[in-house]
Amino acid sequence: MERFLQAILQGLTSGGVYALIALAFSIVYMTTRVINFAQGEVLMIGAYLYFVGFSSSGLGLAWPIALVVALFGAMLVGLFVHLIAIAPLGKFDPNTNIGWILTTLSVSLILVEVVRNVAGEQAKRIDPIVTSFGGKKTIFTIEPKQYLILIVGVILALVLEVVHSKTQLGRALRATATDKATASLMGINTGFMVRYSFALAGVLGGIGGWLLAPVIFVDPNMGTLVGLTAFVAAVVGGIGSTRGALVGGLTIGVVESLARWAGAGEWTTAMVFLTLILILVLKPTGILGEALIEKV
Amino acid sequence: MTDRRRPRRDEQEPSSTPGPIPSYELPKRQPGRRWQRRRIDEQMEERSAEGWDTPMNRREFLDVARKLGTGVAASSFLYPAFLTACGKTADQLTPQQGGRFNVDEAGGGETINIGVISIYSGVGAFVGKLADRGGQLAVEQINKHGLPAKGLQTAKDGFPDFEAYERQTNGGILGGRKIRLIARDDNLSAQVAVSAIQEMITRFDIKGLIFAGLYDDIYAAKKLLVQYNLPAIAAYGDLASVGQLYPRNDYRQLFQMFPPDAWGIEIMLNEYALADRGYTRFAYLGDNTAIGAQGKRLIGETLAKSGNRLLAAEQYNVGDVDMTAQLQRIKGTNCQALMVWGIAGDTAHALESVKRLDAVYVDRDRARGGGGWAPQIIGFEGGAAERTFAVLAGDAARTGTMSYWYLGGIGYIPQFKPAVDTFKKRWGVAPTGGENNPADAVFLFARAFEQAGGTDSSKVIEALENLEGGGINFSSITPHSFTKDRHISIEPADMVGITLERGKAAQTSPAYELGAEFIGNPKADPPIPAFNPPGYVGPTHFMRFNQEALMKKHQKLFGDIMMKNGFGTQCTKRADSSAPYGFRLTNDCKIH
Repeated sequence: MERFLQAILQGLTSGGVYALIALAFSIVYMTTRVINFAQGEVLMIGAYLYFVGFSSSGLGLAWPIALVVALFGAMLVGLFVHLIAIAPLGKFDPNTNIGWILTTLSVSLILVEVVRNVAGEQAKRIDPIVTSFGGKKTIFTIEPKQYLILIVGVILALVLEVVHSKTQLGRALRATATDKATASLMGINTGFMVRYSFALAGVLGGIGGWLLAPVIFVDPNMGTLVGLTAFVAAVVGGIGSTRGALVGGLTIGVVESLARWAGAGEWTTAMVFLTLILILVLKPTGILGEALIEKV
Repeated sequence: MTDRRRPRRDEQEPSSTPGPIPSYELPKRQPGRRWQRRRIDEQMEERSAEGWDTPMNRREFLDVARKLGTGVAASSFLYPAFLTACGKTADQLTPQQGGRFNVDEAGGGETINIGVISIYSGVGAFVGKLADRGGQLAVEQINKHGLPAKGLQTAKDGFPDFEAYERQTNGGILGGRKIRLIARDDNLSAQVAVSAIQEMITRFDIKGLIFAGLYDDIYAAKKLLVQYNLPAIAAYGDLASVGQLYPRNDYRQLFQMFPPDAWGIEIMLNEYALADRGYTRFAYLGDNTAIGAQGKRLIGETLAKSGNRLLAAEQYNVGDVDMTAQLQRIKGTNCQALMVWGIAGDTAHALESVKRLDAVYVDRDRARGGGGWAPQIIGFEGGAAERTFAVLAGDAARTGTMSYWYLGGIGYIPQFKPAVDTFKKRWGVAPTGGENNPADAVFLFARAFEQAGGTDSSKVIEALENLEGGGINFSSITPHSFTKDRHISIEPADMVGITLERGKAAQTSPAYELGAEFIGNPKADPPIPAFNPPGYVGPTHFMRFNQEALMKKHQKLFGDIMMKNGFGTQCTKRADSSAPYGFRLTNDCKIH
């Protein structure tokens, strides 16, 4: 039983990162109806920027400063993705024009190549900011850096949920998501809202990179699988829903962890995608997703 | 009734795409525009392969555009701008990324192409870097200085005379012909590797192939290599361990330089774990690739011979981060030695998971059951013997983590310093280990071409089986040579142990002696300065392992240099005037 609970907790901690990135997917999707397939690479760049700022072989900054630098950089990369992959397409219907799939994928490939050439292929190690529970022994063999992922992931999801449901900014975002033209007529700067969503997604990617870097090592490919799994998490939870992103991320994390607990470690990817199929069959909008009702 | 209507243009069958034209196609007297266009493409590709930074040609562009759509194609045009911003140019890139090796000194007759298939992307990309740096340096040396003159390889008291070699001015082989490497990424897929090899054969007419990628590439390419009778050298990759090396099968085109896992595992388990350490309980944790599968099988078979068995065997996916679930099951077996079979990054994650379970190795006595589960780690050569592993694992990788390799390029031996300096001068960094195999593979091919008097594949294969002058050891300490009955260039007597050290000797009673490469040796004549920077963490040779065989075959290097001057982890020494150097190594050390 202890091992089972350990596996659940382990899954929740790794699910924290999926939730963060799923949140980023959802926020961009809300305003643009597109999936930013370069989101995993934004996370990767956030991790690299933090590495450069924090590591002794880099700038050797204090971790909060290095984090701020990394988040600012990741935000710029988020905006850059919008500038390169989405803005040039002009006004388009994401349901019929699928050019955005190729452009966001292209940008993700470019980002990987750029980092590979600038920083090299060699993986980098980053020391975590918390290494112990003050000398106290815990029941579960989970490190503080893993708990941090879960805590930050949940807190951010809740904060974003409140911001987006209770503030003017959130209402503007939801209005843009619901009907861009009408929102524009109501005086909302929809262009700004789109850029805001990409910038926010960039920051979330940066936080994901910061949290994940001490756990999986920093390398140019670190964001690819995380990004893909987080996309699955976003769909499972209900794309476009903040709460759904959190639930989806944690669900996928737990599914992966339980597969390993059950001695089927080599089946984790299959389990994740089976879960996706199962959810899509049972509830096509995802666990907490709501069907889009279009008035005609 | 037959429809005799002429089909509209959009109903017509697309004409079949012409295949690549061979480079020896003769110019037409009155070439058509289409032929001219293809010829320009072909010339651009050739120029590009020669190191010229040509723009992407039409065929390449269309290929990319067709596969990935305009989005990616547009991105490809943006790519040079990014590179410029990052201070790089195309010829600095690895082949997978579209860059080309610098062979600007090539010229003087027809160039001989040698193919390289390696890993240039993803988690194993460091392997491609080793292959590039080693192989390309050898090509540049041969193109500039030719092959080392007779006797030069052993001119300096059994070691190569690099200074004399660099004074040679007769560059190239076979009367001045230059060598060129054509490198391709296997993308971690044997199918991709086979396609790339096919392309290298048909487009570049390669005369030899170096395998430096996945093991699976070597199996998958067999049909192709046999069909073209193309000689190939596996710089990394192990067919000997699975009985697939000639003459045990008909794959005569393949030669192996890599130390077989079977030898390493056998010596590691029988000589070290069972006889020396007295372990009786073993478990396995390995990846889901051919490396893991082969390791698990060989470990199981080797243990079975001594009446032992694996008490648990767990698997993880390449790239997995957390192996605590698997390790918790292994913990139940209370194993004393944990065999970890995977590449460096994954092995580091495995050991971090071990640390999470508070089970990091302390010493032999603790591993044997004194005070909780803390097994000694014995790892795959491509994982636990890599410095990358030590760096990534941090303090989860404890002193005493064991692996194996062969007596190859030992950078810290003073006699080998010129080779290291040459490498540093070319690449700006010291070799990390493993670069010597691709380099020597190039030298082996060059020597074989020279001996065969050309590039005829049958003659080259014969020459490789009968190399004159004892083989090649210019970038390595072990001479590489093959015979008709032995397509592997090393022997079990070349195998060495590798152990991890963390800058200074770990505390143990009795104490052991850390290698001179870490701490220097002021007692040596002349005194030896430390080779590694202070606090250097990484693998080093373990001197007690396979000692008898090494002393017999490599007395000069292993005995007169390494033992006497204190290189490698020297373990616990006991004075013994009857022993060759006045001492003998004992197994009293609790850590190793």
